[in-house]
Amino acid sequence: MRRAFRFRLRVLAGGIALIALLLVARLYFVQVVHGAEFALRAEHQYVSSSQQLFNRGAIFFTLKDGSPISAATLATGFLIAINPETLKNPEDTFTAIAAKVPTFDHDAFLLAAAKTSDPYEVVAHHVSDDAGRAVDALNLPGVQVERERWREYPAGVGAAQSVGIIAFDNDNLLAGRLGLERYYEDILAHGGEGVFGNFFAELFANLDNVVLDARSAREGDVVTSIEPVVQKKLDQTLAQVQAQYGSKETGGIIMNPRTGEIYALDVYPSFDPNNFKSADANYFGNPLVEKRYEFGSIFKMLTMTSGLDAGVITPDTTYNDTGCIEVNKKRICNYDLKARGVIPMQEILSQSLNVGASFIATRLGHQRFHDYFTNLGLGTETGIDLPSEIHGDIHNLNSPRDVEYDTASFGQGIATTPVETIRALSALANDGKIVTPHLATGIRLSSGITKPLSWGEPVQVFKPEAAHETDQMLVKVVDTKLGGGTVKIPTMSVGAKTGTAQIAGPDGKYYANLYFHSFFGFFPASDPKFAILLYTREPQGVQYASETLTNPFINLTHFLINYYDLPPDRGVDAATQ
Amino acid sequence: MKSRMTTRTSPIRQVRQAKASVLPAALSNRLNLYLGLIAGGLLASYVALMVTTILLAALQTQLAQNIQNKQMAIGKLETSYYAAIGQMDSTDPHALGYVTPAHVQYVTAASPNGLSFAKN
Repeated sequence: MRRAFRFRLRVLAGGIALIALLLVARLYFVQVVHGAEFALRAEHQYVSSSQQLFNRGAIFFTLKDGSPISAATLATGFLIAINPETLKNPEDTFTAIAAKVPTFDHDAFLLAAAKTSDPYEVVAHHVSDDAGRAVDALNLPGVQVERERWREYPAGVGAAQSVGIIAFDNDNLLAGRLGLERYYEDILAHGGEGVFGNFFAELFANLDNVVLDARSAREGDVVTSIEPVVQKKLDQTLAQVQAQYGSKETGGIIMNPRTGEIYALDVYPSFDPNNFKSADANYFGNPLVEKRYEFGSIFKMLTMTSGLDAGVITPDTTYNDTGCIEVNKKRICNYDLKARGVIPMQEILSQSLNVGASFIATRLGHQRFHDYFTNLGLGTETGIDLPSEIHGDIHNLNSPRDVEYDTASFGQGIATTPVETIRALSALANDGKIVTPHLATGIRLSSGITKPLSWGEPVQVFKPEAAHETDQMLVKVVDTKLGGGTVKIPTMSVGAKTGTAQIAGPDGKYYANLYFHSFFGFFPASDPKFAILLYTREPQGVQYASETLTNPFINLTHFLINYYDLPPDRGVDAATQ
Repeated sequence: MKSRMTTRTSPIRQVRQAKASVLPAALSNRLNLYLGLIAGGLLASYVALMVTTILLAALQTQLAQNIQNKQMAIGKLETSYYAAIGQMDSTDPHALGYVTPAHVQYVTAASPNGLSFAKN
């Protein structure tokens, strides 16, 4: 019995020792690890728990040589606060501070200084490092200078809706609200240590985090494929079109048709994310994923390829173009109402003939036409890494009437988002396969490892031969028709098509003089590296997209050829190719 | 005469009883010693951990501040870079005297290991 007694005592003593050890370890984490904030407080670097703990991952663009450059980062500076109770002479204090901080607001400062019952009033945010140190060195009574960190967007307006912003919500929670900031919130938000209010709750909670911090495997920076120089060029081009034609909206996407990586995308009007509080909130949304449009004649490329793929037409097939046809008591006409007689398929694209597109749609039949367009992903979300994406509306392709398919063949009666459209059209530049458009290529974890993101395998929709036949037709469009053949690049094969669509009103009827212009092109046609989609909504004083978007597209093409040193794919001696 | 029954313990039992009265006290002393040593060790390790962590926290704060300063400098450079690109893009090359080349000729790019006098 005594032996049993001794044994039990030893077990009890051991148990007590073990529990004590665990408590000491936990106490260490609670009291000592979180004790770092007291060190920061001593150095005037701590204002409140939210500011001291504010830390967020960066979003990077990627230069063509692979170097990352920040699109969203953290800036460090100072904030200036006053204690109105101890402030001696507000006017003199203001003068002294304003000499170091030129943007210091006089009226706001005096208003804050008048609140003598308030011991703490912030009078300036985002003060630069030099200015903050200079004010601190003045040692003004009643003035505190403290460290502050805030979100900064070095690219400014560039891809603002896609990069996004962070802002407080009604619950005072700072988080990503738009674009990539919102989509990758769980990766970018580097959470604080989060101390519980109850000491004993903190002591016994989250013990697993003591052993393994799961956050380090999740938190990091987002690396995108957006190329900053290409982005700037696209921004300049869109802004020019917007200003020149007084359009309601102008947008563009430049994408790699093989991989879906987006090099540049933007919409005008836009806003500066560094100063979004004074921006028009109507421009915060991203129409590239959140709005759908009837794109018009650029869809003829898909109709043509569908017909070639199904074998109902060949490049040598001819038809009798009468200028107008009547379908289900509706008239479908060419843009100029003129008849062309018996012409080959090439002319449907070269002259953008609605009657010709309807001819192909009729040959295809309802079911095949519906299947091709749905297989291209039209009417579904692309899965791009941007929030609030909607899908297109192609419900007309469920109709039993011929007229719906005929109008869809030239891009009217169905509406798609710009991202959905470039995904479908890029099949022509990728041997008949569609890919998932995306911005982020990888996540750079805090450990330094970059985790690549996978965006799925390409999906074969058309046979490569059908896509290539359409590509050749589109190269002829650029070489002979666009701009009267003046924009042809002898050493580079470029395929492209314009689209001029009417805009429907709320009653479903099309406006007489309002148009939606679109342009899609890719190059080199022999092995496409770039696909470009441009659009402008309701340009003033001009009717056709060939007038508004041809030069911007060709300028972008020349820019990309030079910037990426693309070698010629035609028009040179074989020895130099 | 009532006989009293006296309990007489055997010598062995007496020794055992003596041992039993001595053993709990010895055990209690040893237990106290062990617990005391454990408590002292825990206290010493706690103090050591505190000292180490405060030193590390101070060093970490300093390093974090250095990193923030560098990030700030990088951010300023990046902002300048974007501004420079924007300025270049908005400049008309013809206004600066550049002209479109009259003739463009292409040459085969040299292989990576080939000798070349001109570097692109």
